[in-house]
Amino acid sequence: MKGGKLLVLVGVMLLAISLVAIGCPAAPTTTAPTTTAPTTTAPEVKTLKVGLLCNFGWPLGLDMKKFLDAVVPAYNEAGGLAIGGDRYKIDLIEYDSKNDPETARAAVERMVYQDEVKFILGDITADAWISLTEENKVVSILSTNSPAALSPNLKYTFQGSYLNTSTPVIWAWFAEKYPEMKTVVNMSPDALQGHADAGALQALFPTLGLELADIVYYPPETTDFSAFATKVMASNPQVFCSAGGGTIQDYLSVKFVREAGYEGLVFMYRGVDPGGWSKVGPLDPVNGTIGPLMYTYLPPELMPAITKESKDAYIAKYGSWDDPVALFAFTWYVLQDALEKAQSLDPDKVAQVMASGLKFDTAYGPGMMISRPDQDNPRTIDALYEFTMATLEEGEIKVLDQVSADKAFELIKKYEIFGVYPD
Amino acid sequence: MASILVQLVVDGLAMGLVYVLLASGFNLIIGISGILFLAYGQFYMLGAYILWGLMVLFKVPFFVSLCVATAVPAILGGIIYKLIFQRIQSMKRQFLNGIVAALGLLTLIGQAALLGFGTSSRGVGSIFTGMLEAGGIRISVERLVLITLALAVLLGLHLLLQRTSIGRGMRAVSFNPDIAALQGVNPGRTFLVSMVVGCALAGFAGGIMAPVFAVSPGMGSIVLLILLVVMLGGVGSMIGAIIAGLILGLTLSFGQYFIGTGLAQILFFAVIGFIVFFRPGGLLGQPMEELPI
Repeated sequence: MKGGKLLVLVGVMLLAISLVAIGCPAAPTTTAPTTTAPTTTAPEVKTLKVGLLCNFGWPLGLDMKKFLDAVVPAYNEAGGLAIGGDRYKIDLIEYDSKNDPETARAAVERMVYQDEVKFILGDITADAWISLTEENKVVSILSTNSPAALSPNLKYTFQGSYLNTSTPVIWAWFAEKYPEMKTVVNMSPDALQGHADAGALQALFPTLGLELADIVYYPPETTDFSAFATKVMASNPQVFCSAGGGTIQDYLSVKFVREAGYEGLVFMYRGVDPGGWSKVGPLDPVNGTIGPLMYTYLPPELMPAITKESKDAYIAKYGSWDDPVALFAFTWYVLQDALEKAQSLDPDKVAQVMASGLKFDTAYGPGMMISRPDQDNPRTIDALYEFTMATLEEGEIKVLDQVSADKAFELIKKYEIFGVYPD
Repeated sequence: MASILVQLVVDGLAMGLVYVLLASGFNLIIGISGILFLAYGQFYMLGAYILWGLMVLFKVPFFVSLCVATAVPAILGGIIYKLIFQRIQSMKRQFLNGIVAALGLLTLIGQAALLGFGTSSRGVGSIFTGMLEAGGIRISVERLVLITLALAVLLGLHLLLQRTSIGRGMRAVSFNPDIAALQGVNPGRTFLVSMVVGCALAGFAGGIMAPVFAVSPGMGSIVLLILLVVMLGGVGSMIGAIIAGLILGLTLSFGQYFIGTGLAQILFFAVIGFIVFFRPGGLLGQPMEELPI
């Protein structure tokens, strides 16, 4: 009898856990496509299918999906895509890549063969499926820092996010703006991305005349940074930077370093995030921090119309602006501008426009496609964005500089960050 | 260099005291009731979220919030004991059944927290601001308050166990429930009290940690470290938990400074392996002769 009771107890618990798991929004369990239906079905308006592939179980992937679920229908409402005399509503075909190459490839196969999509906004899994999209002439705009995506052998594949270009160009700006600042200590999570970030800085700094005095790695879930802060203080660098740990770790690392007595400059080269940081604690410890600022944080008088419209669309759909980290939604705007400028749905023509120095405008700032001599690729296949540098003063954002994409490109050429560009 | 070493000792002791607090509660539960309560870390997380909710959403003063953050996990622990573990203790293979139930609770509470609070970061503003500095050694006032509160509660726990009839009963039951029952001690009630006090300690630890660090649904994973601390100190030994917690804090502090993160964790496991090899019951515990499954 007792065994029977135990079985009932275990059964009830398993049922409850299953119900909770099914209801959990952070971990979708299906790879079935979901679509944002066109908001009007007027017969004269055509439909253009665009594939979206990202990891719905990852906060940044989920934020990208949520953001596009708001701005794409708003774009359709505003008239959609105009090509020649025709109008197209965008039908976003969404698949969860689960950050798994096999799942992602299966999803792309469905997009290409079943959904007959000709344009895909892809993610970090791209290496697993770009051969398929290339073979089928599907234009893919990615958010990945995989060098394979920049290969000169590819014709329809483009890197549309800031991933490759922002860090070197922001450090180049820093080196010019603060020439007296030379020694830097970098703090990164002790994980693959953290080591990749630190490795990138090691490679970049000699070019810029900076010295990486120490790299401090911490376990990714760390909240007690006291020993790490003491280690930073042992080097007592002119510049302390922390990146890639997420909102909590980035904030706490600065807080503990300040508490350890550090009085130098804090440079958060991945971005200042007053919205996220204020949820973790008071902004006092991060006052004075310098870094690039997301356009969505810009004061109203400096905020471009496209950013404001996107925020409004998000608020209209979800009720409030909860500071989504929709960094990879950049790619949607790149595609939108490429289609509008190509005035064609022909993948060859769209790819040609992108590969010929496309300039685009996004909710996160304008940008341009650039070539990559270091990858032996003369076509413009990587994205470079304008950026705004800012600091926090008494918890308030103060804009320090706005660096256009053209100016950023000048910095890249000057320091030969991606090799030597032909005149 | 001397000031760095002293700073690392201060950092390590402050870090270790939280492990001590948590290990004491965990030890109380496993040492007295024999329940390997793997959901324990979730009560720590719960305490932190309760404090955050009361202070940030309802603007309740810190000490009132801390009392609630201690009381609610304690009450919940009591209810869970009565509903689940009391029944399991009357079954055969109670140890394994208890682990299954604890794992279920761990998942249930963790997923409920994810659903309720989401994955976003949460934090409570610093309650006690300012820094103290002497001889190049710095410590924040909020951390000093954390240490003081932790020490006060540990002293209270010591007095409870050593100077009260409840504490004497708990010690007697941990030695042998049947013999304790013959002496008039009610083992069932004592098990319940150990669960309530243990969960209260977890909630309290979460509450005092929230303003210094941050609050997230993943906080409950600290239970694995706590399990190691209890193993190192010896199951059932409060003094062992204190020593082991401080060893953990100091090992991590010095290890993170001198040899890096990954190696620091390996070093801690090496220390545990070394000690358990020579003292299978941990520093101050007795070796378990048979697994109570």
